[in-house]
Amino acid sequence: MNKTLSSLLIFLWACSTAHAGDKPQIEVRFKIEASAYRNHFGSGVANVETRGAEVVRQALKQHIQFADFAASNAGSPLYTLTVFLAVSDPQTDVAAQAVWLMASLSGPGGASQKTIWRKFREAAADCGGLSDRECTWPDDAEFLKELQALLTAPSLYPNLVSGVFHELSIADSGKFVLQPTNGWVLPFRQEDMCLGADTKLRIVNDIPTEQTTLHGKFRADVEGPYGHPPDSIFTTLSEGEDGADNNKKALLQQFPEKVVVRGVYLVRYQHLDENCGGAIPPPTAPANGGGDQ
Amino acid sequence: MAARRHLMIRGVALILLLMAGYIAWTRNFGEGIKGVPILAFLSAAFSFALEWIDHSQAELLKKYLTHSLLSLPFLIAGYIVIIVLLSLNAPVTVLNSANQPLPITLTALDNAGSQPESATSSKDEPARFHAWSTPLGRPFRLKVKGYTAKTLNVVAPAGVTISTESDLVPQLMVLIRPTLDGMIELRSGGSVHVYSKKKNQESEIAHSLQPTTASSVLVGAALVPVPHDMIEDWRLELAGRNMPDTARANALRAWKTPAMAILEASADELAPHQMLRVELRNKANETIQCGTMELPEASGMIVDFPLEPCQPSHNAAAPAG
Repeated sequence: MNKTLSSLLIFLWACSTAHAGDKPQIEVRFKIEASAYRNHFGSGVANVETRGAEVVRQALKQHIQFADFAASNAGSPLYTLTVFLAVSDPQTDVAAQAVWLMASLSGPGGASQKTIWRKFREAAADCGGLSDRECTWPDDAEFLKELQALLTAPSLYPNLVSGVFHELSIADSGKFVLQPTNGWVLPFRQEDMCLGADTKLRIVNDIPTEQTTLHGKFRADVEGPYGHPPDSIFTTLSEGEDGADNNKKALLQQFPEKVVVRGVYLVRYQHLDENCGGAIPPPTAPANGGGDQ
Repeated sequence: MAARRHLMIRGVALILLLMAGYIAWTRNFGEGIKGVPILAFLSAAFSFALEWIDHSQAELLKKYLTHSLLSLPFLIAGYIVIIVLLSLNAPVTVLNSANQPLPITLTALDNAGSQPESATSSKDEPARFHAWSTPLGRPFRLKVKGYTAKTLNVVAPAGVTISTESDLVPQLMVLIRPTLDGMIELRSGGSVHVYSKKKNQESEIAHSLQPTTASSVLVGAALVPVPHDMIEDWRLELAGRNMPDTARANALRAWKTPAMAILEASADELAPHQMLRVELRNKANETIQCGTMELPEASGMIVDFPLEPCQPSHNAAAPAG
């Protein structure tokens, strides 16, 4: 009886919250910080930055689906991802060092540190005695083409997510359940967010007790689609963020009904390659994984 | 028989006289051997004409020649004239192997009131001066734009031939030394422009030629080797910078093999205390590195002119976020 009631409650919660919250909106900007490149593009640098932002945005849209990436002039999104073309030592000639793509995410809580993402070019002065074609700064079209080619590799994005998006909450609600195993039902479809099976999440919870409300951060593994039809995702509880959080696992199990999910963050990202963006299967289709209830 | 021998001797004397005159002419006016075929043709035409005219007319012509060109008074007068001319006239020829024409002046030094003679030497047409001198020589001051003045002892009839490349020393050279970023910009289509400032007025006196290379730029009259001491100074300068050894080596190599920027024909030569301003521009002709310097009084033949980023408005650091 209890199990049936619990299932019904989860179904009602899922219906009420599924698709209620949109994906986080992220504005994409591209900044050329490396002085030699800014000098080379001169007064056209703003144009190159705008077009570079569009190249980055298209690449992100192709490889990351847990957020909506918008152009820099699209309203006022909560988050801004800035990709920089920069060098590690701005005081030294750009030609003497490798040029990197770096990224930083700013949001309501401030801006994250600039994180090295991908090497754009080796040191220009390292190219065969300054007489080769490689010993030049690229022109606008060449630069954008090079940037586009660099960003096609899918292997780039897990690093970007773990380095830059770790403070971006992809959902602010969820339901902790004990059955079929300890874990959370989160209000989005796996195919919509395209989170692969190797994705690891950090779920921040409020756990109200009789005396006070405790906060607990727990790691969770993506298990698979949940529900009939599968309109949500099931993630299994893995471990606490630290020792203190590990001690709070018992509280989760003690008060599952009271647990309030405050944020869901990506710790490790794996893109779901199959069925990404797929349609909701018909109700008769069996749900995969631990979410089958 | 004796008369015929005398006639032959006078004929040889006439030929020697003509040859001496021809050599003196070519030495002074640069005709070279281009005139030899013409002379040969004229001689052959004269001989041929003698065969075709009547015997009586030929004899008359020979008689006329014997009493005019081959006459003793004419030969003596001719020899005196040629000896005087050769003894008093000396050619000064200045060869220029560069593409840019060079203004040249030649001034006699043994006479305080002598006016300088001017000429222009180009790659195809050397400058030629016809100086009055003696077989004992006469001092002259030769000044070629961009080179230090040279004192010449001009001896008649040989005169002097000067090659700017090998016989003259460039007066003052400026080695414009962009940063590594600037040299890569030059390689990417950038350019260097040199301005001279005089009484609040600026005029462009030189610019680097296209296509540019990733190197320093030498402004002056001729390409000269960079002094070893200067390279050592650069090595010390680079030692204090945080960059890989390969980048340092490439920077040194690029600086020590400069590209040439010839002074504009209308520009004055570089001189001590001259104010110079240099701009390095990107492909879109926007200034990205610059420098200003008053040329020193005497710091050797080459003046080191390092460039620095000149912080244009678009060079400001991009704001985060």
